[in-house]
Amino acid sequence: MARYLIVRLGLGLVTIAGVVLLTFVLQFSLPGDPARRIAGPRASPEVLATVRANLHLDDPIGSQLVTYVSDVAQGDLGVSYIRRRPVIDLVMERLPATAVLAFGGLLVEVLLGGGLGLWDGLRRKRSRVLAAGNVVLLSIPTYSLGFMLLVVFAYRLDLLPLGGGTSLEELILPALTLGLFGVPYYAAVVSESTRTALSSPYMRTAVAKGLPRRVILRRHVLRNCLSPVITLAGLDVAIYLSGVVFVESVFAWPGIGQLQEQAYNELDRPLLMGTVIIAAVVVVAFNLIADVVRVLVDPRARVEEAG
Amino acid sequence: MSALLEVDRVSVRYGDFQAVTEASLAVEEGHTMAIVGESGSGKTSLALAVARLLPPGGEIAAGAVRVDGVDVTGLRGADLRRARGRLVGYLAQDSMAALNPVLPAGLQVAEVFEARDGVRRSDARRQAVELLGQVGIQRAAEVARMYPHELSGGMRQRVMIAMALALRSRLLIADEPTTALDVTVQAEILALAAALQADHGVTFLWITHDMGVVAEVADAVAVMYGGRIVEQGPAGEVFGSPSHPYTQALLETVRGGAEAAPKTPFATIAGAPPAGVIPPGCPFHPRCAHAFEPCPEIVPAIVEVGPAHGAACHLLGAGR
Repeated sequence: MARYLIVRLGLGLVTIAGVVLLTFVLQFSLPGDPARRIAGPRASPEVLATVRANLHLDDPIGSQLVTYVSDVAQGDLGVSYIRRRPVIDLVMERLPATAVLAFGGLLVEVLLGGGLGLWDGLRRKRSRVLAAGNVVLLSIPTYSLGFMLLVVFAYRLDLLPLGGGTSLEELILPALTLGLFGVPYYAAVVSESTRTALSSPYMRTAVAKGLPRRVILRRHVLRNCLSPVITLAGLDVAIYLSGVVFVESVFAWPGIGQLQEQAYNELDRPLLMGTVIIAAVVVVAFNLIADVVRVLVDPRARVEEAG
Repeated sequence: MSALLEVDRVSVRYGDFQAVTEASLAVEEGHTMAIVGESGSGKTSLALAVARLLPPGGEIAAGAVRVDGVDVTGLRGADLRRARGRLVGYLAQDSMAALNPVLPAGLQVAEVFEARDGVRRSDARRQAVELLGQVGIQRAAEVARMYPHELSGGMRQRVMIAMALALRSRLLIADEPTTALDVTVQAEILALAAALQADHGVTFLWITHDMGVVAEVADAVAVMYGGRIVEQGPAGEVFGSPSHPYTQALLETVRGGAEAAPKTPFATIAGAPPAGVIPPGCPFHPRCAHAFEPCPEIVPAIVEVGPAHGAACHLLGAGR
């Protein structure tokens, strides 16, 4: 286990290093002069030169990279051009809202997707209604689904608020939008695991023992669906926590995704690069956590990982 | 002594395919009957029918199975669930597949006590560890916490036996439980089964194709071919004077020809067992060296050839 963790941790660090390098290169594709963005359109050439010197913009690319990497390694993601505050503080302020949305979306997809999958898996034949519903859900882009829900439930029926805050009522629609998109995956995975468990020889043993149906379901069927669900959920939490731009922008949810969108519109280089790097760290961290949890619930994974 | 298991003209069907046709047998309490046959002979289908564990699509099309006087073919719902285990236990061939891979071995024994007796989990666990010790597992408390893939094949089969002990099954169906084990472990499991029978009076229905195992464990033998029981009788009788050509050929493959040295290292029965379509008449006639006119036409009836010993072959019919 320890060796496995160290290897995974090392691979994660390599991934993050790659993302840091990529964001550094890609920043040069952004239009505009950073010094002019900070100093303003009417700044004198002398002021511009000072700003350029402070930002090391005239240094050779190689030495700029070294400065950037060593700053990032120390947790310094720079200062936002527009907001004049450290990027790390700006992101941390937005993290709670994004976390609430992420777990809301996860709750919807695990409960709804898992429930539908279990229902489908216990049927003798796969449900065609569910299969059709899955295709429909998979075909609708997230932002269209968000707008549709918004128009129907908030605008026409006036049941829920239009958004802009982080109250529980305002969470329902964005969480639903986020979660519905994941429902087909969870439904498929749980349905398949249920079918596999039901047709397995150990199910025959469990039935032969005269166990009540509820014990068979909980202990012998659900236990075996857990491992793939944890893998899926780990990926989703990571992606959601790193900011879901479309959902947050449709519902004006004040999370990291919205911050990232604003940074792009404002051509705020440090903020944009910072959100991307933090997203990479979150994705790597949660994949690692999901792997560890999966090993804890599925004894078979302990063998695979030892090999 | 009375018969604990009575199988009365049972037929098993999977859709259009008839896997077992009118099989009848009786096993006395505390005895072991071996069902012998090649793959596809219907022996496992018959065993699953007795345990009411036929997979979806399989059904007992006709006949009755009485265990301890209870007709288990008529049981439904909660009655069936309560009768399961208490009456019939099942030892599977592949113990790795038959145990749930994500649950500790001890829990899979303990859940029997939880479900049936409603005891607390800690009590159930204690009883399970006790049983694991009884079936010859060293450091039982430690093994109880281990997962199936961490145990050897012999240990897993002992866990399965502990499960059957927990169920206090009257009848234990052993579906080739030793096939996947090496010879020494096989001998240990056979000895354990014998001890179980001596101590608890368990009745065994032992499914196998291994004549060595049959000789070791069986009081009585039923030979199956093409879904029918073609010969049945006390083990000594069937081994001493096999009366059906198929039984004779089967024993020949094991003995390797006592009189003359065999031309091939292993004697085999020419041809292949029926797959999918069972031939009309006597199912064995296409491979039988002695087949004559009635064999492809008429299904032979069982003829008494000795004390409690019968065989279904036209050669044994009246006037021959």
